[in-house]
Amino acid sequence: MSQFNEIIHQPVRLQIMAALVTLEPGEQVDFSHLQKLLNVTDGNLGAHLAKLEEAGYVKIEKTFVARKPRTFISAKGRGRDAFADHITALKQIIAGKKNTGLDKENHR
Amino acid sequence: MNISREDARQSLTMVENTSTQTGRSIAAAYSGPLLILWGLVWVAAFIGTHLFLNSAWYIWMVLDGVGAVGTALICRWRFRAGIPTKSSDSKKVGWSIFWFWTLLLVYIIVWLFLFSPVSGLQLNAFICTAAMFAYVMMGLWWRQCRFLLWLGLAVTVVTLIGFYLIPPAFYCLWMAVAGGGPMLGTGLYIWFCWR
Repeated sequence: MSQFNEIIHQPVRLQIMAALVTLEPGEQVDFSHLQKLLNVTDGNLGAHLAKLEEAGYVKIEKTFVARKPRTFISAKGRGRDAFADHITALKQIIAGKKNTGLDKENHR
Repeated sequence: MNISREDARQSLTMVENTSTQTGRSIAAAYSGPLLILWGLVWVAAFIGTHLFLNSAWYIWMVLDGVGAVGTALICRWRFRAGIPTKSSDSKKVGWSIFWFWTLLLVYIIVWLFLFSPVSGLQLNAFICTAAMFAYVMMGLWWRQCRFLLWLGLAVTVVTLIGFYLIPPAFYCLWMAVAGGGPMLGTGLYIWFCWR
């Protein structure tokens, strides 16, 4: 049974993972590009990335390009799997194959 | 965590939108500047050819040279800076694209020798459709650049219309507007709207 993932489900983290899994495996996205894409602040994106990194879903690499500090982010294999599982779980909820809890409450 | 079907549906929509935007922003970062550059090259070269027909060969050599150098500089800048993405395969992909275009150029020259076009119009229409064939192939290969498929097909149709239906005296003007225009327009659109 696919797993609903509470870490990934938070809207900003869900968007981060959606953006990262769109890239080819091993492809890294520039931090500022991701920030612009998701329309979030530096601090907000950093905090959510830290949470995903802590879970082992993303890899954050700090490096220097032309003497300027740059941060690149990519999805780890474990993150891709967890994201795919989460998407399957969401589809199952929509299809009514998975108990959402809320639906049960609504029927009472 | 309890979530409703509606929440799940909204989450999936958010994922789809983000995924589409990500693909588009990456495609725009690479193809946007290149399409703008080559759109300008086509517009300038066709207008130049219309105005100075006898110097057509030099006009195309110089402007194609500008396009090739510009393409190399844009790709080098993008790949080196890792804007917006980088990967260990970037270099490999870059060289594949380089060899694809270089070999296409070699084949075009071979075909020109084999078939010996009898007029400048034939020569030009042949090179334009061959270049658009490359766009079509690139659009088929990269799903993030699928628009290249449609652009390539559209400019091919435009070239055929120009070749068969437009009076030869106006062929270059037609190609500047209907051939270079869509390339420039597509480049500007994806650069400003997708990035």
